[in-house]
Amino acid sequence: MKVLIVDDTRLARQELKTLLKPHTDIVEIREANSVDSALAALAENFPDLLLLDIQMPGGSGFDLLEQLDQTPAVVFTTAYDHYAVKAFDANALDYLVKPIDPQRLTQALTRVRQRLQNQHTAPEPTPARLTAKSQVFIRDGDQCWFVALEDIDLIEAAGNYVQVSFRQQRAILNRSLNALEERLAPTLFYRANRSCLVNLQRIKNIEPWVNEGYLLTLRDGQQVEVSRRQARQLRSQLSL
Amino acid sequence: MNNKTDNTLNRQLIQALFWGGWTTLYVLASTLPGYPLKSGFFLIAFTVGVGCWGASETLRAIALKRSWLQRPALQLLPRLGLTLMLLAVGVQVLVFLVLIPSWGLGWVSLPEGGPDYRPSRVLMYWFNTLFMLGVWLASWLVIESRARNRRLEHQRLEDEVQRRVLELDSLRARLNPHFVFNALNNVRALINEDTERAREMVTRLSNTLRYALQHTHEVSVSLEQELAVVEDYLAIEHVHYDERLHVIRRLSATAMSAHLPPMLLQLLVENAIKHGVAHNPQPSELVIIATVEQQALNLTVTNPGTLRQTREGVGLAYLRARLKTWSAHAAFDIHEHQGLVKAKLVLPQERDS
Repeated sequence: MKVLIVDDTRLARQELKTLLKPHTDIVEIREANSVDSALAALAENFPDLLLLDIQMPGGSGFDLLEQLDQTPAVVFTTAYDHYAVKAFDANALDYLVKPIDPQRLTQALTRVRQRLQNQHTAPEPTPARLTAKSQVFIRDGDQCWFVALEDIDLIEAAGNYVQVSFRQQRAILNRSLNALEERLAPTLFYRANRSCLVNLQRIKNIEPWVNEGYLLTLRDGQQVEVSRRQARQLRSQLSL
Repeated sequence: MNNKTDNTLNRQLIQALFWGGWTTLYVLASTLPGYPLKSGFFLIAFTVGVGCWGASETLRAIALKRSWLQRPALQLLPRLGLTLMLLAVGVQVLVFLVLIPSWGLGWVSLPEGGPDYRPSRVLMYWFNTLFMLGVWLASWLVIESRARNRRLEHQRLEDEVQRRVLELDSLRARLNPHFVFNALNNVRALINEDTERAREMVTRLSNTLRYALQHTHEVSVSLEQELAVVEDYLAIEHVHYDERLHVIRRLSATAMSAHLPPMLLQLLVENAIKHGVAHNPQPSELVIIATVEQQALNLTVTNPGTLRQTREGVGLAYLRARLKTWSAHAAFDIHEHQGLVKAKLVLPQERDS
């Protein structure tokens, strides 16, 4: 397991390294002391686990996650603002309070290992193209989620932003639809029309529609029209 | 407002019942068998009733306006007594002024011989009126003092609740959990790296916590005492922020012996770190200036950062509350100028008693 520790305090990073020492399956530990240096470290080599401090100068741990196209497993480390973490989708997030109890760290690492094993079947993600198991960090107002791409039903353009539907929830993401499409594998997400990206595996029903187009019904009940131009592409993609 | 109108209405209703009742009694007494029934008695009874109503309202207004009720009994009673006597004279003069023309013009009838204004009679009339007003005054004093006691008790309880809330807020502000847990985490790492320094940090952290817990109830400490704990605090934060924290001190010798409420400078320094240094990736200069000008201790804490215009935290609320009890001329100001946040305290050294 490869770990990246992000904390602005040298002693806090040192303490984490000491605590990680007994865990022999950790083959690499790197450190970053700010959001910027963490971004650089992530671009250079994608870790399996991010141990992330929440309060940092020049941006919080959440700000860092928001800038990532995909996130590794994340465990937050915090001195006192664990209430900030608790407000979020509880089962997706883990956090440790400082000073860290070694037993709690062991528990958190066990959970991460289980997650990594589940993902092992998927091909290694590369920064360029994401896979179905890649998880993204979504923040909308006070709410945050970690969502695997395979759990996203639909991505719709909404001005300069996009609206993402997943697990019966919706959130606004500060990205453009075109930028997102570039990063998503076409075998995963299909551009149904000018303003929609549809998860191919979440399509339940396809019916012919006006102008030689199609009407897609998704598993969550949403319906999406496919334009004539895009219909041809859908046919070829599904015949593959 | 509405409540006040209601109270006034209630009071006037009670007044009407009281004096109405008295008038009725007087009239009934005059119709006892053996007495000739004369319309003049009705007029007298009615005029006395109205006059006493007016007199009692006047007395109440004077007593409340001059806050007589707050005075000790020895000062209160002569004042009330004298006013009452004068008002009783007023009521009798009113009766005289109404009765004589009405009788003269033949509107009302009186027993033979007309109005009886022999000196002994006049004294009796006056004394009667005085007695009635006295009964009224005694009832009013009892009711008013009970209401006053209730108000005072209510106020006392409210003050107590307010004090407790403030104490709790200040405790939270003084203990600063984020700081404490980060410090403990750093000490854990230091134990492996630099045992001597770790031991020193434990001592400094203990000092900081002890000061925060013990000195709450003290009214004032010397700047020298306060600075000792600020230095402990800064040493711990220096371990946490390393080269990102630079402290510059400009402390005049006279300021060191000046006095201030405990924890105030500490609060300003903590805020400067929490809202300034903690958010700045670059090294931050934290400047502490202490001078004495015109018999007042001036404390200024400056840090790079921006002043967020959201609501003030519990720390500043605590600070303002402490200032209020220190002196009416104590002042606090915080503002942002060219990327620097400057907090300034002015504490007059001559305190209000």
